Amino acid sequence: MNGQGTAPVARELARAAAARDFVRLRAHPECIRYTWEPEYDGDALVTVHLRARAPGYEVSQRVDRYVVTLSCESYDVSPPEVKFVDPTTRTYTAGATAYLPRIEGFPNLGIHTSFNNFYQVGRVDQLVCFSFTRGYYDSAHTPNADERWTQGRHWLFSTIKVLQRAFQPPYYRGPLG
Amino acid sequence: MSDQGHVDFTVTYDDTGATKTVHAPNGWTIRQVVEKAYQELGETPRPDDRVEFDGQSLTPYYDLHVKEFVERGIAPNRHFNIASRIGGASR
Repeated sequence: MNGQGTAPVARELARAAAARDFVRLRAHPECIRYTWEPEYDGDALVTVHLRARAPGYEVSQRVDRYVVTLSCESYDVSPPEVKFVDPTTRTYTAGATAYLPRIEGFPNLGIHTSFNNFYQVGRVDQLVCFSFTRGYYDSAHTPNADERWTQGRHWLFSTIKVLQRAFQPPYYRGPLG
Repeated sequence: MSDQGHVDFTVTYDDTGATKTVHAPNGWTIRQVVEKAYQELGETPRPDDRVEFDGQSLTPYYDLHVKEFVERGIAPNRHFNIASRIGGASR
């Protein structure tokens, strides 16, 4: 990550890191506590389920559910590529809002339905933007040294936990679409 | 878990997922529990760190002693999280 975006790592290495950290994630007490229900495709894709509560949901016990994919093609040299996806098809379309959350006031977290300022010319894509996502480094963002993704220190948990923290009052404001 | 005069708190460092248990005497303040947690985790406190329980800030309770903290039923699962600042679009 040299300011020009990330690069894929050898597939076998990415796959090994994803497999290793999927096992770690599944066993982590907070994964169980928040019922992330992680899934692994056996290659480089991990999927988790996130539950969100907005202010005022307590009375009705309402919980909103989201599905997030973490693509590990550059893992763990770089963080996973994070996407909110359709829960049924597990795919997404840039610009679509139906399966994205509205987050307000959470420091340094940006969720863009359609972002076009990537290093890759012409790329228009959904961007979940903070220093533990790959898309952050593939666009024009540079973190402070102590905020930078660090191989061997940060892992899937680090990324997911930021989203989980944003999915609670007062930050989570309901579905975007 | 607690024994005579001590209470166990678990603390997770959200950046790394590392979790440690602090075996805290009743006479300690919550601030001392948090300081001990940083030591056990091998982490250095940063100015923007947020220490939480169940998504709420723990800071208002820093001067309470462990005994009173427990008796008042605050954070009944005795689990804290430390979250550091992430990098965002503003830099």
